[in-house]
Amino acid sequence: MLRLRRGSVNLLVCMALLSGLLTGCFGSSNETNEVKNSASPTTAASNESGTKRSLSGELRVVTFMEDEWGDQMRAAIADYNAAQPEVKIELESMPYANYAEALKAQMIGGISADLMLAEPAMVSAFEGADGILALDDYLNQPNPYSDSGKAWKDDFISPFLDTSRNAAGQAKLVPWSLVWVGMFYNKDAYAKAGIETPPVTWNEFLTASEKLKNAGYLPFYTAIKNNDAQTWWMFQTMLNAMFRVKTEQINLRHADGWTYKFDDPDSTNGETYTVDELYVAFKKGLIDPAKSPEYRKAVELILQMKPYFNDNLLTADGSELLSKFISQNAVQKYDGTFSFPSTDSELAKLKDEGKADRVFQWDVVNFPTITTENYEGLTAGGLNPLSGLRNGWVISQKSDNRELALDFLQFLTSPGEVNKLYELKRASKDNSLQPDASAIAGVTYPAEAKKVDAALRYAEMPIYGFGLPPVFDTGKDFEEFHSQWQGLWSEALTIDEFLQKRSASNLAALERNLKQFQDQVDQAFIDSHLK
Amino acid sequence: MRHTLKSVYKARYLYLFLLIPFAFIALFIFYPFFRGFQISLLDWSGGNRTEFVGFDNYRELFWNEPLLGRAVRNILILAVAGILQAVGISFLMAWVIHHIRSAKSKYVMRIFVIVPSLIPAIVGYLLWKKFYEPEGLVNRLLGLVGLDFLQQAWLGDVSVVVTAIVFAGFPWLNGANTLIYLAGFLQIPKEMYEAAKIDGATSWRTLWHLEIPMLAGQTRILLLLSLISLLQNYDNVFLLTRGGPMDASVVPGILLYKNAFLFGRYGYASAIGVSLFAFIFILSLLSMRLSKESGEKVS
Repeated sequence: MLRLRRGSVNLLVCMALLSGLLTGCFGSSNETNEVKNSASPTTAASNESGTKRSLSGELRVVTFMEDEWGDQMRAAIADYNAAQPEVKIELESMPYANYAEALKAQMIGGISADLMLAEPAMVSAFEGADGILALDDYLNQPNPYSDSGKAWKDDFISPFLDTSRNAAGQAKLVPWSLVWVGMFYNKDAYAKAGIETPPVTWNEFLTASEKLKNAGYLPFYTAIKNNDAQTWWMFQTMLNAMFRVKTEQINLRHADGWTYKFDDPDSTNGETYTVDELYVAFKKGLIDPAKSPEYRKAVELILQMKPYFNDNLLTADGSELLSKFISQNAVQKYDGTFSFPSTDSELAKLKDEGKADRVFQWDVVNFPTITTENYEGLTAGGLNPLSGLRNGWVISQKSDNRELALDFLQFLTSPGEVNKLYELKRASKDNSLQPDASAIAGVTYPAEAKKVDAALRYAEMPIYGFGLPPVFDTGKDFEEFHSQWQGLWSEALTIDEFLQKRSASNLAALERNLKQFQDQVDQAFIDSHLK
Repeated sequence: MRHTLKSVYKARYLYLFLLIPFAFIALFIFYPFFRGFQISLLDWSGGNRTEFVGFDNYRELFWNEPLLGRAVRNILILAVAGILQAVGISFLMAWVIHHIRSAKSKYVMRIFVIVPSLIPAIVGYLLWKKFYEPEGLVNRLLGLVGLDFLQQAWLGDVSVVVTAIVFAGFPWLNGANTLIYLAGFLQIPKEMYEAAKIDGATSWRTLWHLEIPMLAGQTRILLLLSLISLLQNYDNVFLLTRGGPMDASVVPGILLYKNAFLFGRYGYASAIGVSLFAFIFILSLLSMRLSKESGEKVS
């Protein structure tokens, strides 16, 4: 028995080594994708030239927003079929949880849909699988379904196409809808605590939170977990404001004659940070958590919130936020326009259940801004409203139907069609609610829609992804951030230890990005600035 | 050689029928293993670019992975506790059921033990996640019995989170294992019990000198199967804590999952998988050897 076992072990080891030897001989590859359509991207783009063509075939489209866009997508497909009757479009819906992981696995297996709805944060994960197509050539051509006569890219509200570019400056995500994130507050609780107007500055915010606490309320309920973005939204918007003064020092490769004007939000249109610029900035200490005084200050400021948070930071869950706000266990929350309908419907449910005494008035404002009282280096403006690209469309790199996918996408994002879809939304939902705004310019919204103050006040080039913590990828840096963030809030890590660990994680992520985008990285640029 | 070929030809239909299951085993068990080993020698993020890196992934795992020690320690703790639960508690339940005099009560107890096995484990872990909340069942029960000082954030405190995971699933009834032991108990001849009684053996001595040795075979099998299953297990950790807080409850399975599906490092994740296989294989061999030696000593 023992001889047999030893023999089995030897056999296994031999087979494994043989497999390894074969891998060594044939393992490395750098295959380029075959262009499955007959035309190269450039040729196909030049063929478009703003003219509609008759197409045929089958297209698979997948989204994770059946509730918000399901009916509208089906209407859009019906409209498209009126223009392209020979095209069959299959619309699939997947749950949001693990959507990115599932799609990535499908991309690796070569079975992903042709056209996919995605969030900006998902793009880097899909790029790691070489799963999505770069669309710059197509975006520079006119949209045949648009009456604007401009290039397709000009149909989108700037700067949302630019903010969605990847670390190499390529556009792989076509913007779809925007989101604004603000501070929801319980008006009744504010009145009882003696707060007359919602806070505008950080110091006013701390004062208001103290008043709420004294009145017996919990000012904020949050979970230090990756399904509650409140604290990292606060942190990132602070960092964006503080790093704004360094924009010219970071954006070393820019259009000729470009200069940064912090109070002109359009002054950064067309500019984007590339991975090599960020790497150089990091190595110079400009954005290195361990060396940047702005980074340390942002950490110190945000920790001032701790007395106003719930005690169970590490065991709370992001899924509890709405229920805590509705039940008035917490009277403020940092949330997006996507939660307007659910907040109102939960309160309406209370009324229907005969619990009218628990219904309260709520409103939402921009999150209070830091000022020079909090940090004297804040010389390029305070916090911008947190608004940005919520999602967009990506096309599978391995799709056999790229031309079809592009054509449908151009149809879908034409201003005329988008206006129709938003009218459908208005007709089917409560008129007082503002759905997520469109990233396509020229959409009209109902007059009765809830207004939000989403316009950017200061020119900003985001260093980190929209809606993410300050990380340089949505993989390892993202996971390490959460672990380190938990350590900071539970006081298992001091501020110094947190900054050191963040620095190491950020640097490793930037180096991984340099490797991932090595074809686009300008090593001479890096060498010249870091000698 | 000729004799061998002749005997194979004689039993050709047998081999033909065995070909199909062996083909499945080769495709679904052996091929993934070798493919996994092959990928572990590559730097691959799922895209078109792969780079042969030899044993760099293993080197990084064993020299540079800061969470490896903690993951191994945690999985050993969970495995030892899991074995005590899966084997020890099952043995105890089977012993209790076997010694119940009333046939009806025996029947009821067997049903009582089997029913929890019908509930998917995921449901159990999600319930325990609720129980462990600061205002969950566990803290409330502790408050009721005057043990307020023990109330804490069970899944949020790095010092108690692994203990909390160990205790999730109480009372750890394993229906299948209990029935296996019960079948073993039924095979013990009545005459041996009578002989033990005549010799004046107490219940404890009967248990220690008769029942436990007679069930050594079942124990060996259940021990081995539990060990293999528990060492690769991570669904309970994933559902309860996802390896947190601050990676305090990380286990090798979580490391593998994160590196593969969150970080996109398939080569490194495969290296973790192959190393885990080797670890389980060695421990299983040791376990089989030790239990065989103790079985020989007893006989």
